Amino acid sequence: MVTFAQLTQLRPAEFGEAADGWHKLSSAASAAKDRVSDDIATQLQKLLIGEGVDAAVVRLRRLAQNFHYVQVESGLVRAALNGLGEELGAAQKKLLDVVAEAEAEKFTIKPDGSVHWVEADPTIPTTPQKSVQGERPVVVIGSDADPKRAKAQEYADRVGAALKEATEVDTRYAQALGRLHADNDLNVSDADWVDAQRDMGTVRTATGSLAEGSIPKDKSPKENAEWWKGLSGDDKADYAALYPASVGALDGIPSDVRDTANRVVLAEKRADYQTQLNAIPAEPWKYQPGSKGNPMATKTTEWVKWDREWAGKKAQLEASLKGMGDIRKRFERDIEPGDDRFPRAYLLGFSPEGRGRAVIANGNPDTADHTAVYVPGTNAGFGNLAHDIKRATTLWTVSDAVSDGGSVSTITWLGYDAPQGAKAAVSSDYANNGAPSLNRFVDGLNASHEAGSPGHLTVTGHSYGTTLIGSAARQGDLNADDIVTLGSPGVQVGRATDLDVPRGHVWNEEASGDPIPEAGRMKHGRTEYHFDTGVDYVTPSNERFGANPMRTDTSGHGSYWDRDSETLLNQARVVVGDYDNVSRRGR
Amino acid sequence: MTFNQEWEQLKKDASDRLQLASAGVTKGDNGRGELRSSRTAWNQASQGVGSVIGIMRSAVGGLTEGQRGAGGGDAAMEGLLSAVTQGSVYRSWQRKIELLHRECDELKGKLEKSGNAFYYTDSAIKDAFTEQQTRPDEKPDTGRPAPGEGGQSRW
Repeated sequence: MVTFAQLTQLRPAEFGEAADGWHKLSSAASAAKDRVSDDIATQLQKLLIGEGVDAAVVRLRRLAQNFHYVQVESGLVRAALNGLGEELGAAQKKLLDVVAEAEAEKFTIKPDGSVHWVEADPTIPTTPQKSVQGERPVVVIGSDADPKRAKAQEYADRVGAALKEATEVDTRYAQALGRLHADNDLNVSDADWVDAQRDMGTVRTATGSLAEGSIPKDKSPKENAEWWKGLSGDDKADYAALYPASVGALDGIPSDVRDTANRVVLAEKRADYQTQLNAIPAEPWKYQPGSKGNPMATKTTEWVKWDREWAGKKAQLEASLKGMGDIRKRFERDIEPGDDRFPRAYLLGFSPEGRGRAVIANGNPDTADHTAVYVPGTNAGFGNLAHDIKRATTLWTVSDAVSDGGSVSTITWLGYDAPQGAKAAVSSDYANNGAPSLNRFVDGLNASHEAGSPGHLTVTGHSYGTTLIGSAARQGDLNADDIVTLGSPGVQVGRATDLDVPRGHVWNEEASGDPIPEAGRMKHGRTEYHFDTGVDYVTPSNERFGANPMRTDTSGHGSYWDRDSETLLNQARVVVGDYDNVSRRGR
Repeated sequence: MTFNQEWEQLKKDASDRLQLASAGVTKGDNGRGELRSSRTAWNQASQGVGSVIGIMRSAVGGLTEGQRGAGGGDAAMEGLLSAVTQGSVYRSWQRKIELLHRECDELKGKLEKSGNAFYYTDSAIKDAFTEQQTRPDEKPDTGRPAPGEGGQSRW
């Protein structure tokens, strides 16, 4: 029980000071993690080869994991202490208010919480001191001839209520904080990350002042950005520590904030999914031999049961974990071993639920002079994420080489459920459902881009991804400067001018032997009726569409990122705004 | 040169497509240049770990500073369950970070030795990093030391 003396003498600011200390630890651990992982381990790996350096890198990566864990857990301690200080401060204020009011009316409150007064009745010569305490049967006003006693009882009750509140706060936070003890080893296990996720939930529940409901939902990226800018430093850090998934998904707030938040979600979800996968029982023997009367081999009942209960879940977990592994490999920059340097990755969106969402930037788009958002097409997902990450890193390398000193960021935007398989790709639903997210993401990039550079922004799409781009422009505003369509089956609209970018800023490539533009146009092209030619399904490859046709020297639907190709170089030139040097078809 | 400048230089070397090798394994044709650059790479990594120790030391200073009131220096705090718990959490993390510090020291030393050809072969380097010298401090009272005992930190 928190006592009257404790609550009056308490300095809640001290919790804030302690919280600041934890904040310093959390920030330092975050910086240490980046340095060990990005600067030290990755660089060593790039510069040296051999089993010696490999062994060193294993130790360094484990050290970085430890720092990440310290960052997350000390962030939770900080958030808990900030909440504790605030709530104890509120209880203290209630108590001090009662004391001040009571004293103004000549009552005295003793350290045991009892309220005392002196009967100033001139007829009574000895002026006896009287007192009441809270949590006693309340005196019914009216039946008591002594109005002072009723007043005193009211104060005593209020004192009791403030102490009770403080005690409840103290107990609640003590329980939450008790979860946050550090273990004493160097191994950051999956169980540790699963615990961290649970600890986050505990601190969230304990922390009354910082509710998830106050994080903007379904607001414009500009409003999100304003909300974030209006927060105090403490609140920013606490929201990121307690609600990393919500903060990481918030279009419009700074990319480095989203990245830090999403990396926490990734670490925790990966451990969570791996733990779930490990818990799935082993697949039983599938077939049993036939018997005399029935010579055909049949599936065992154990297997059928297992298949029904676990097979789907297992496949889903495995695909998700594969995608998460690909993202982690990109963080370690070895998605393409032995390749050129890449800039730091920023995880701008992450969710393993369903087919999975991941938005991975190469270089910080908030400070980049040129940003390209790549929208992948059919079959994109966590099961083959490396493929689409690699396309954006490839585009980065070439764009960076021709950017004439301008900084470049390229982004793999898997922000929608892409159709899986050619049959699904016939439907426009995937594009139509995902398009608003693309518009929001692009608006978010515009909102979070720092002043001082124009922030030239290109949206590139491949195959079905171009259909989504068209749908985004058709349904809302796609606020990009340039659009590049690659192997497009059609973009729902019939003219380049319908794609929301300035005239002359839609660029198209159709590689030789790419069957998709022809195969898809009846489904995703714009149906038009012309007097001379009859029905036409217009795609960006059609002359009447009005895109700038760029020259290609590669062949096939998957050839748009072939190394040292004109196909890729032309995209890069658009990305960096070097329009004059784009080679065009038929010139 | 600051750490960052040196690092930039190192990255530039890398992009010049210098293929380097650690002791024992060479790749490319300029053996001498490789050896020198290999030494640089190890030493830079060692210094990098040194800078991480610096980052953490200053943060732990800040953490300890913040404990003055809430950590029990204040009589009103002593009776609060939450404050007492916080103090105990603080000591557990102090121990953990102490452990990380020792791990950093070990790695820093071994990275430096790798650069200075202390280990003769690549597999000797591997053995060095595989051998785990830093161990958790298992003294029974290190987690939640008695008052006055747990305040010492090497950071």
